Formats: sequence, C-alpha cells, structure tokens
Amino acid sequence: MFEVSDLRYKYPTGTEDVIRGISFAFDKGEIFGFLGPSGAGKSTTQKLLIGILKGFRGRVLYQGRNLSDCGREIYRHIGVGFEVPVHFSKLTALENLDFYGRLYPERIDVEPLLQRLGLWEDRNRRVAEYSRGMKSRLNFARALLNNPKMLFLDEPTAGLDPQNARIIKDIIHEYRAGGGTVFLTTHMMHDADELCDRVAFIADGEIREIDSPMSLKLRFGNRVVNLEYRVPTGIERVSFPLDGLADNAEFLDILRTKEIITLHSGETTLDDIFIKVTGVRLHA
Amino acid sequence: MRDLGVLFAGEVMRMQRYGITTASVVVLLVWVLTLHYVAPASIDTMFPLVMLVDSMMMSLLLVGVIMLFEKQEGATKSMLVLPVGKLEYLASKVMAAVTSSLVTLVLLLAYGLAFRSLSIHIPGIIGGVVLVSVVFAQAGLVLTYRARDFTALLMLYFVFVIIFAVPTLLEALRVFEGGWVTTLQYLNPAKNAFNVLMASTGLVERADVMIGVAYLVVFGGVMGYLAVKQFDTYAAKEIGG
Repeated sequence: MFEVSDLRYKYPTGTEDVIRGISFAFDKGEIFGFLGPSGAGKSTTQKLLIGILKGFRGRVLYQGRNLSDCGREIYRHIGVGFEVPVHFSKLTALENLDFYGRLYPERIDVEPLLQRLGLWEDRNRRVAEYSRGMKSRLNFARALLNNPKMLFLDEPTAGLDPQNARIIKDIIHEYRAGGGTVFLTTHMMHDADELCDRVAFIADGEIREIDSPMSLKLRFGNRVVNLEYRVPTGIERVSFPLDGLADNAEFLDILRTKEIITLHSGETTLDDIFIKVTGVRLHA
Repeated sequence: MRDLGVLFAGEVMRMQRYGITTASVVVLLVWVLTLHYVAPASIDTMFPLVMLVDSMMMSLLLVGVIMLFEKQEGATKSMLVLPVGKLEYLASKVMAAVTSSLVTLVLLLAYGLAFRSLSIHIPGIIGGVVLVSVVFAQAGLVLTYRARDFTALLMLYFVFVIIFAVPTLLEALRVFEGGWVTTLQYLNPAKNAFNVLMASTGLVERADVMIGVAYLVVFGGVMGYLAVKQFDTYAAKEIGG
C-alpha cells in the first residue's frame, strides 16, 4: 500500500531534520502502528504520507505511484483522523459532516456510524457544546465519511473513556476485516498491542525497530515464570526458566507443597520493549 | 466547479453562524446613515467613496476573519485532506467576500435610487465593486498568511489602512489636492480602486480610470499569484509539528 524509503524532512522554519532517513512499508489490509513519544516524529511522518506536508526528501510510493504524482485524488481514497478537534464549532455535528461529505464523490450514511459512536442523539448540537471525547469520536466519524480504502489515525482513543475507546477499537478491527488498511500513530502501547499487525518504534526522527508485537515480546521478553507463594515468615518470590519447566523439580515441588499466590510468565510489555530499544520513555 | 459551489455555500453558512453577516449588516446600516445625511449635491460622489471603503476594506478584513476562524478551530487541517484543489479553496473565500460587497452594493443602490435621487452608472459601479473586491480579498489572503492571530491581523490591517486608505480618503474629501502627493497616489492601490469606482459617476478622467483598471488587474494578478504560491507554506505552518 505504502512504501517509504530514506524519508527525510525539515520544517521550513527548522534548522535540522526532524525525520532522519526512515524506511518502512505496509500492505493492504494491515494495521501498521507508528509508536513513539511526543515530538518523536510520528505525526510529522503521518502528515508527510497524507501529503499535507510537502518538500520531503527520499521516496514515498502509494500503491506503486510516487506520492507527489498522486495529486488530490488520493483524498478520495484515504480517511484522516486527527488527534485535535478539526470541526467548525458553531456548526452542528451533522452540518459539519454534511459539508465535508458533499465534497467527496462517495460518502457513507452517517446515521449507523453516529449511532454506534453514541453521537446520533447529539447530532444537531453545535460542536462547541461537545465534550473532548465527543469531539474525538466526531473526528473518527469524519475520517470514515468517504468510505476510505485506507485510514490514517492519530491517537484515535485519546481522551476517551474505556467504553468508547472499546467501540473505536472494535470499528477499527471491523474496518481491517473488511479489507481496509490502517496507519496508526499513538503513544498508547496497549492500543498498539491490541490493534496492530506490526509496529515501528520511532524516536528522535529515526525508526529503531519494526516487527509484530508478538515477535517483539518473544525477542525482548524474559523467558521465565514468576511465582509467589506463602511461607511462615511472609511471601516468597522466585523465578524459573520457561525452558525445561516441566522437568524442574524445585518448581514442581513448590506447586505441590506450597500455597501459590501468583503465577505469571515473564512476558514484557511493548512499553518496556520500547524503552529497552530506544532508551526513551513513552510518556515523557 | 461543483466543489467550488459546495465550498462557497459552506462559507456563506459559516459567515452567518460566526456573526460575520451580522457585522456586515451593522456596517451596512452605518453606510445607509452616511448616505442619509450626505448633502443631496454630494450623493453621487459620496456613493463610490462608501463603496470603496466597503468593497476594499471589508473584503480585506472579511477574508482574514474567515481564514482565522478556520485556523483557530483546526478546521484548516480537515479542509486540507479533502479532494479539492487549493485554487477552489481560496476562490471560495474570495467569492464570499465579493458576495458580501455585492449584497451591500445592491441594498445601498436601492436606498440611494429610492430615497436620495442617486444618479450613477449601475453596470459601471457593479463591475467596479466586483473588481475591487476580488483584488482586495486576494490581498487579504496574502495579509492573513502573515498574521498569527486576530490581533496580528488587525495590526496589519491598520498598517494597510494608514498607508493606503487614509491618503485616498483625505484626497477624496479634498483635504489635499495636487502636488507630489497626488502624483504618488498613482502607486496607491486604494486610489486606483477609487478611480475605478468613480468612473460610474463620470467625474473622473478617462485616463485615470484606464490606469486604475490596469493597475488593479496587475495588482490583483500579483496578489492572486502570491496567495496561491504561499498557501503551502501557510498550510505547513498551520499544520505544525
């Protein structure tokens, strides 16, 4: 779907590149996560891929065509969900969607989507009266308005309560199941872990790692089992290697003779792996 | 063309919702009062002056206000990912400013003809207002690119008014006449716009009208070129990092 080679970018007012020679590709039907802390270059990369920032160096191909040759036709096929509110606050939600929708050759029926996002009842309220979460959900609806083949989403669950975040994630899953492609930029590792087929870690404008969340966990995780059990003096904590666990006499003895409190594999989180790979904290 | 119509309809709707139309109506009432109290002998010359202030200064400001409201709300980002070209996007804003000026003109013409015995070449004043409004709305776009917010826009606007509009108004009110300032005024877009509008009264030299039209066409061309050329830089700044 997209192929990016040695992409570099410097803002017109900047003195140095904020994107420093990144290369990656993702296929149709894939959810590709672009993960990094604020200022790492993930939103800039997204803006370059959707063509609203120009003047990059390197090569970006969209469906085999140079992005700069695609023109504005590309916006018929892609949907963009921004992190910040992008609607006219003195127009109602429906007026906003109707205005944008009339500028696309193909548009969806917004009623089922707004119903699902919990905005249908408030469709005739001015956006200025919406809460932050409602504005985020409206942004998401705006991104899907033209029935896009590909979605670019920037922190789609930011500012949402768990229930609404769940709805958004379910819709993203269904979108992918229907053949859609998603480029997701986020600093929320839990979302990335749940949604993405592959993730790229970006820090200081450079990609440090690209792989599936599971592969990363296998590569960077500790292959151990952590055990807590009760002893007369309190709680004892021990770790055993996963390899050969079935034949580990000490482990089996504890299982048989002690009162087990917790038992966990030593899988690491994407958060921990990110820090290990990049040396940068995500929520910094 | 269809997209331009949708964009234009959107501009008109937002002008109503954001109170820009209300502000224009208030300004219109000020013009009506101005024409009401002008001496009958001066009505024909005062009318183009009123239209100069409206079509030049209101167009300049109106485009800026439309753009800044859009920028302030982040809606520019959403507009940039639509399958419409920047020419159509910018043209819809210019059209909104021209429409506002034309509505003002029609209502003032109706008042002037009905109640003040206004005698003016109507196609001439309509053509003049359209030309002036198009040119200065484009100048408004270029000015807005340089304004970070409403305060900065107002500062730029006042600089424009002091440098270009005030000398033209003072000359029109005969505060000064002749001399090197009058010659220098041929370089002033506001003065040339005034000459074009005054053509509808027949009280200005034909040569001055021709110079005025030529000046506005060239000035408008330059402003239009800059508005389109500098839009990407403005958009990149608006999008931010």
